[in-house]
Amino acid sequence: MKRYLTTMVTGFALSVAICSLAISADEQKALEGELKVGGTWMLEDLDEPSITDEALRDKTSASSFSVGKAPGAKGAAEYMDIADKESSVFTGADLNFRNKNFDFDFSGRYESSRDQDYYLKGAASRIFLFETDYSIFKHRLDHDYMENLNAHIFRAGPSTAANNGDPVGLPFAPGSAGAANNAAFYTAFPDKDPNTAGYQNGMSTLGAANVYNTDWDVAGRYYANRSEWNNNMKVNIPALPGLKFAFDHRQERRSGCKQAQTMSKCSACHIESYSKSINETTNDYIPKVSFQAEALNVEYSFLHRDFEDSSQEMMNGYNSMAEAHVPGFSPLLQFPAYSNNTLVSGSEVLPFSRTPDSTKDSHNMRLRYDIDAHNTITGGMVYSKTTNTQTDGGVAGLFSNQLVGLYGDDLELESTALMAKWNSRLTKVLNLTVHGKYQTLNNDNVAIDVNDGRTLGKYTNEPYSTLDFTRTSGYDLDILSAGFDLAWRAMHGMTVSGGYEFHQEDRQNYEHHDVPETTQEHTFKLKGDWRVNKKVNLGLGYKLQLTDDPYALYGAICPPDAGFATYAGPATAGTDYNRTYEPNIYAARQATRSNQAETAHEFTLKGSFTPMQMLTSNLYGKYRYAENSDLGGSDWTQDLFTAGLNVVATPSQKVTLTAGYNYFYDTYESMYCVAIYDG
Amino acid sequence: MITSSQFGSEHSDMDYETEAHTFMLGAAVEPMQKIRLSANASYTLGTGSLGEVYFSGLTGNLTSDLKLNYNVSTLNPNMVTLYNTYYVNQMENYSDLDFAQLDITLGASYSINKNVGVGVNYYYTDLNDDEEYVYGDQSSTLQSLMGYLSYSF
Repeated sequence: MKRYLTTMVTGFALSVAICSLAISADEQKALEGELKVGGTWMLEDLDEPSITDEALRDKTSASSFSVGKAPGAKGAAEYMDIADKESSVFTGADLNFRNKNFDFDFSGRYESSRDQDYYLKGAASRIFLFETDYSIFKHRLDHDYMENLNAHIFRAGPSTAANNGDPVGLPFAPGSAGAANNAAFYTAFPDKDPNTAGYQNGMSTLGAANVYNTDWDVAGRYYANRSEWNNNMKVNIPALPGLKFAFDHRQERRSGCKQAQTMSKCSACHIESYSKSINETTNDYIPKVSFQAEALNVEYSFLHRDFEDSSQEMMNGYNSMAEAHVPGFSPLLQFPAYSNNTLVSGSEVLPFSRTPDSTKDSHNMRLRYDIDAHNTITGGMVYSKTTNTQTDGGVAGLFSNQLVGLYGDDLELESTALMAKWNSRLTKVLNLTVHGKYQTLNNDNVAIDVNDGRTLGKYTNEPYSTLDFTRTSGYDLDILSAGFDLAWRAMHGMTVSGGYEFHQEDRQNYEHHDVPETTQEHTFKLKGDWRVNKKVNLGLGYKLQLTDDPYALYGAICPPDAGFATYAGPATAGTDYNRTYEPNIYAARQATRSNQAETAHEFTLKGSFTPMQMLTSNLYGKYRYAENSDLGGSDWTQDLFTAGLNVVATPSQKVTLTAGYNYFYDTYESMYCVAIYDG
Repeated sequence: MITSSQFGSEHSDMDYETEAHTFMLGAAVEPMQKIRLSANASYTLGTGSLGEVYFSGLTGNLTSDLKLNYNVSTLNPNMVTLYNTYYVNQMENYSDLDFAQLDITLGASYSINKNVGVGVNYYYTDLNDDEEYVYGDQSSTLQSLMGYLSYSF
C-alpha cells in the first residue's frame, strides 16, 4: 500500500513542482483545480449483530457458540469500508495543468486506507505520454455459519465401549480400527479427542446418518481488500512517425481474511471451517510496438502474467475413520491413514483451500491493410500458454506428490488462434464484412495415482481394483467460426443489416467426458435502425440460433421410465462390487441433460423519443426464448425478458430531473438430479 | 468405497424464476446562484424462487432414523428428527430469495465566494432481506452524513 501511495504522491509532487516552475516561467493560469477536505459521520452503523446472543446460546452443537458471533448483516454495507466506524476524514483533489511543453490531469480521493482512488495523466511534448490509476475498496465477505449442516445429535458421555449399547452405531467410537489408532490420532490432535473434558459431547453422534459442523472461528469477520493499479506509457519517436512503443502494466491485489471450509471423507459428514488470510497478487506486463507505413499497420504485443498466492497455507487434521452402523463397513479412503494400528507419520494433516500459482505468456500479432478506399483486410494471431506452476510442488509428508503432483511437470494449457476479416464498401449504400476464426486448445492430462487402502496394513488383502486414472481435459478442443455481415442503407435515416455465422466445436476427449464430439451452431441476424424524424428513433432486431448437438452430459440422469435407481442394500461380502457407489449412482444415469439451447429466438427493441428540447427519453427491451427437446425427460426451456425506460427533463438551465425503470425476468425449466444418501 | 445405506440416484422436474424491478429518480436544482441542491433515490425489488421439486422415489424409502422410532427430542429439543432423505423433497423452501433495497442521497452545496465552498451530503441505505439464505438475515440500515470544504483556483 505504501508503495502505491509513495509512487502516486511522488509522481504528483514532481508534476506539481514541474508545473510550478512552468507557471512562474510562463503563464499564471496554467494550473486549475479544486481541493476538498471533509468528514463522514455514521448515524447508524453495522455493529448490531443480526443474530442475537440468545439465539447463539440456543444452538446446541459441538461447535459450542459460547463466544459472540460476528455480525452477519453486511448487505447494506457490502462495499462500504467506514460502515462500522463512527467517523472518518476524507480529502480530494482535481488538478489540471496545461502549457506548451507539459500537461497533466490529476484527480484523487482518500477516504480510508481501504477506500481510495487516484488518476494521473500526463504528456511531455506529445512524445512521452503517461497514464496511471489506482483504486482500492473493501468487500465484506460472507460467513457461512453452516446451520443447515446440523442433522445430528451428539451423544452424551465419553466414547467408551460401555456406551455401545445405544440404539444405533456410534461413528466415532473406537471400532475395528482399534483403540490404538484413535489414541495416536488424538495424541496428535487433542482438540478432536472425544474423551477429553471439552469435547466429550463433540465426537460421538447418534443416528445412522449424520451431518455436523465445527466453525473454529464463529466470530470471524471476513473481507477482501481489492486494489487495482494500471500504468500505460507511450513513446512516439519524432524521427520515425510511424513507429510507436508502449508499455502497459496492471497489478491486482486481494488481501484480507476469508472462510475456508473442508470436510471429512465418506460416512459421517463433518464440515469444518477456519479463518484464512488472503494475499493474492496478479501482475501483467505488456510491452507493445506498432508500425504504420501508408496502408499497412502492424502491431505486436507480448503479455506476461504472474499470479502468486501467498495466502495462509491451510492444513487440517481429519477425524478418525468413521465406523458406520452397518456391519462390515470399512471406509478405506478416510484420512488419516493407519498401518498396522499405527498412525502413519506425515498423514496427520492434509492441505485444503489452496489456489496454485500460475503464469501466462501470450503473443499477439495484428495486421491491417487498406487495399483501397473501399476495402480493408485485418488479420491476427494469438498464441498463449498458461502454466500451473505448483503441480510439482507437493506437500511434505506421506501424501506429498500423490496429492498434488504431476511428478515434476507443470500443468499447461496452450491456445493458438488465427483470425481474419475483410471489410468492403461494395456500393455507397452496401457494406459487406466477411470474417473467420480458428482456435485450438490443448490442455495437459493429469495422471492420478491413488494411494488406496491395499497398501495399508490390515487392508492389504482387500480385493478392490486399482483406483488410478488419467484425467483428460475438456479444454482439448478445436473451435472454428466463420460468417458475414451485410449492411444496407435503404434510404436516408434507415439501415437494414443482416448476417450469418457458423460456429463449430470439436472435443477431443468427448468419450471420457460422455459429451457430444461435435457441436455446430448456425446464427442468423437481422436488424433495422430507422430515424423516423427528428424526434423519434427506432431499432428492431431478431436473432435465431440453431444448434446441432449442443453441449450435454449423456449420462446425467436415470432414464425417465426408471426415474429412481434403487438401493442395492449393504454389501454381504467385501467382494460384492455391485453394491458399491458406481453401479448405483453413475451407471444408473443413462439419459441426456443439458442447459444449452437447440433453438433460441431473441428479439430486441430500442427507441428514443425527444418531443421537445427539454425532454428526452429512451426505451429498450429484449426477449429470449430458448429450448432443447433432444433430452431424456422433459424439455429444457428458458424465458428471459429485460426492459427499461429512462427520461431526462431539463425545464431550465438550473433544473435537471431524471427518472428510470429497469425490469429483469428470467425463468427456466429443467430437471434436477441428485444422489440420495442415507448414511 | 461406500456400502452403507446410500441408495442411488433420483431426478425431478424443476423450474427457477428470477425477477427484479429497479426504480430511479433524480433531481438537481440551482435555486440561487450560490446554492446547489440534489436528490437521488433508487429502489430495487428482487426475488428468486425454485418451483416444486418432488422425488417420487423417496417417499417409500424412509430408511433414516425415523424408522428407529427413537424420540430424539429428549436429547435435543431443537432437533426433533435427524437426517432423513425425505427432506430433500422440501428443498424448494430452502433457497428462496426476496429482498428490497432503498438508497437515498441528498446533497447541498453553497459557494461562499469565487474560490471557497461548503457542502453537506446525506446517505441512507436500507436493505430488507425477507428470505434468509445460508448467510443469515442480511437486513440492515445505514445512515451517514458527509460535510466538506472546497477550494477552487
